[in-house]
Amino acid sequence: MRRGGGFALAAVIALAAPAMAQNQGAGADAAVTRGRMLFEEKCTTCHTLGSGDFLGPDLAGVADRRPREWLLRFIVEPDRVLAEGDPVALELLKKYSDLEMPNLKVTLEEAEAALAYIATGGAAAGAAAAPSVPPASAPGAPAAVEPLGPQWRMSTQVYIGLLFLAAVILTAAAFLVVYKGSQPRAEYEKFERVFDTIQRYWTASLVIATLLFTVALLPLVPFPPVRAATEETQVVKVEALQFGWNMEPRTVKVGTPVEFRVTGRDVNHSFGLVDPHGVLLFQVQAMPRYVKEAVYTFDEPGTYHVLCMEYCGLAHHVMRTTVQVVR
Amino acid sequence: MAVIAERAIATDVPREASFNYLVVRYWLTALAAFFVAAVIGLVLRWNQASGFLSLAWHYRLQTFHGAYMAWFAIASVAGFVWLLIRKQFEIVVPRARMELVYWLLLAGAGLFGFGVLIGGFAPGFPILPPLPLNPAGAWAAWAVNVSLSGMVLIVVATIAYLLEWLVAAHRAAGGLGQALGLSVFLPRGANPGGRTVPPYVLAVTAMALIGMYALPVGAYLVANILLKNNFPAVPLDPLFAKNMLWAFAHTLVNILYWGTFGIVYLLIPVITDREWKLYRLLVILWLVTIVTTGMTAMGHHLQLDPVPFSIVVIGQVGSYLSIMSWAAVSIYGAVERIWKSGITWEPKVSFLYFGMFMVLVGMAGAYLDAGPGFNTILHNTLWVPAHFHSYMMLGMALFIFACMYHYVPLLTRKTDDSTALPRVHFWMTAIGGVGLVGSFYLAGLLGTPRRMAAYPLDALPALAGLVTQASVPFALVLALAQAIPLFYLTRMLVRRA
Ligand code: HEC
Ligand code: HEM
Ligand SMILES: [Cu+2]
Repeated sequence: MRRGGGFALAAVIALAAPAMAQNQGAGADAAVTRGRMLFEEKCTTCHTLGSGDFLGPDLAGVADRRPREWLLRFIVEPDRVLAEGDPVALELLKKYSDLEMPNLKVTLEEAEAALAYIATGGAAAGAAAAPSVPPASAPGAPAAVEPLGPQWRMSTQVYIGLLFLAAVILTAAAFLVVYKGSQPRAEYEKFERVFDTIQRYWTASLVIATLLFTVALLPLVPFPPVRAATEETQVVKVEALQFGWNMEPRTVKVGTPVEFRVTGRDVNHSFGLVDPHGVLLFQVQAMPRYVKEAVYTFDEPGTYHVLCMEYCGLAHHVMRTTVQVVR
Repeated sequence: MAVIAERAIATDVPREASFNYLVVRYWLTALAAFFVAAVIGLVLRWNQASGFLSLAWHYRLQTFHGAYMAWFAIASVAGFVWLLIRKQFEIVVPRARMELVYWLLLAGAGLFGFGVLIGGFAPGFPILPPLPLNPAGAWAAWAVNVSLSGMVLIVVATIAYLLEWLVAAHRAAGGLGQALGLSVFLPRGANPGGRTVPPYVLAVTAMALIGMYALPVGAYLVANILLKNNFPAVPLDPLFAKNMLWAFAHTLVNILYWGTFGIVYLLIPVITDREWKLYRLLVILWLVTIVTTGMTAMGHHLQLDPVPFSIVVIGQVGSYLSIMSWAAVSIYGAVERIWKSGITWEPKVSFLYFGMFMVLVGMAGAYLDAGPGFNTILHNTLWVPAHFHSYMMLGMALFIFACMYHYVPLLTRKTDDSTALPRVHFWMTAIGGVGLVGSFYLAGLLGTPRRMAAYPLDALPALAGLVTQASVPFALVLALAQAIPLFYLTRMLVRRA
């Protein structure tokens, strides 16, 4: 069955490819633009166009290296091409042994467009020649973010750090006092009473502190049941997949609430949003078959990074994209 | 019923040498696993700092590390449980059964490791479904079968030894209620002889009891994944599976923890020469822990999920209550007994004391992580490995080391007059461990995701990269130190009496 499907696609490509090739001209520019968008969205996590090999081969010039039919089919269903034991695919896999190129559920049309864009070498569309994110595995990749930007002074992370530090210092102090006080030996009966009392207070204060802490923080739960979406609310649909993000739209405005509706396609992922200063704002689980909403209102324009926060396979760390926030 | 005095429990050992050596064999095997997994932990951190491994190998080793560390705890606690059954209850478990558990554990570890190292199975540990079934080509279905079968063996062996404990406790202590210390609630006089079990019996019984819930859940989940792996039509809901996973994995590590608190309850009275008896507050808080422990994981694993708000709140409170007893009675009671005890600070005492301190540090980390609103920025960052390495690497494992340093000389009737090596072990572990865990906490605050072979440094504050690099020397010291107990105890064993 699987095999049959593969041959079916091959046949479609064989029949359609010449026709599509003829069609170059009028629609070509549009195809290149669409292709560029697709490429940036789904391929730059692993490929570059002329900036060298990354997780997958540098795709510059690939259109000259391989038959068009093969490329189309490989982009659409790399898993099947490999499963069928295609010698080229096997050889590529050997070379890029970390990873099999995943099936990104690209349609034949999209593959056409991507290829049209790849054939331009990225030059036609300008900006996209280099991957939009520098390869994360390159040691010492340049940090685009200041060591600890001004944003950090205000972030929740700082409060957490301070609370934690306070707890650790208090505990350490108590342990040091007992360490010092372990000598010399004295009769236990002398302070047994006092210890019992301390224990009761200690237990009670733990319970009370826990309750206070919970109650104080509840309002912070960042995604209260989503209020009826107003006309204002900007809705962004997010689908996470191995290994990339489908997101629509990718540009939102400051000042009005944005509702992210997050789901997953294949396995668990997590949608983590990092602001331009490198502060992780929040994350939500991107789970197949479920949709989780997160509402956030941006107050600063800029490029926000989306990271996958849930390990989802070998290319997990390159599963990234960006959200543009504008005025 | 034969509840002998604590002193004798902790200082006398069974006379049957072959039994003693079996316990030592459990422990030395566990230590070997620990050393290997510790070196792998070092490799992981090093790779995150300087990137020399392929992705496939990073995630294989990560999976191997997590699983083998869990295995270390399971096998160590098994040895402790056999010892206690014999000493506390004077019940002789047939040798064949103890051997069977040992070999099942070993076979399970072998199969799991084979699937990982040869088959490339690398979903991380614990395993979050449905990733094992959708690896995007990274591993084959057979590797899933092999590794998960190994896991089934380990789960079965664990159920077996916990059952042995429950049966023994039931027989010897006069019912599980007694073994859980419920007699403290009886009115005076209603408890003939006024006998109560010592606190470590309560701790180990609690572990065994909850194990009977957590482990079958785990077996069911693993079996479900295995079935689906071979018959894709079998259903598996991702949200349900995720919560089952945490109900299993989080509970399992928790109860292993209680088992190692048993070590604290057992050794502290001997070391300080101060009794530790059951009393009502202690039993009450333990009961709260037992009842709420299934919820431990829920608090902080539900916040990001698509579930109703009320469930999040219930899970939250339950999750906090479930660890209350650790701080309020277990650690408090131990520290209290050290005050003016005139104790000699031998290495085993240092391990216990520092371990308890780090458990509290881990608790602070866990409280904050589970905090409503905080969880969305700490979850799945390195803050999470930070809190559980505080608990396990610098807490549970140190209790286990203390137990081994205490008992192995007794069990083998051989000694080593020099405590220099254990001392070096302690300091290297403490310094290396605090450095590594500290780097996890800080990197977590900076938003560094956990489980990544290489970090998205261009999106994170520059400090995130520095923190990773700075932690490598600490990891090195920490990992190398773990050869010491293996060497020291093996040498003790092979030395002529
Ligand atoms: C998760 C990483 C990843 C993503 C995302 C990805 N690829 Fe690949 N790609 C690879 C790898 C790895 C190879 C090498 C073959 C192998 O190992 O399976 C490859 C090979 C290829 C090849 C063959 C190259 C040659 O030299 O013949 C083409 C063409 C290709 N990819 C196109 C694409 C396109 C178009 C996209 C976006 C729609 C894309 N890839 C997305 C990883 C990826
Ligand atoms: C002894 C030295 C140790 C070192 C150097 C070490 C180091 C590490 C590192 C670097 C990671 C990867 C963190 C990440 O990127 O997410 C990790 C993960 C982990 N460690 Fe350790 N660790 C040690 C001890 C322990 C102990 C004692 C335990 C438990 C008993 C343990 C259990 C785990 C688990 C369960 C994971 C998660 C694996 C995963 O996410 O798939 N580790 N450790
Ligand atoms: Cu991911």
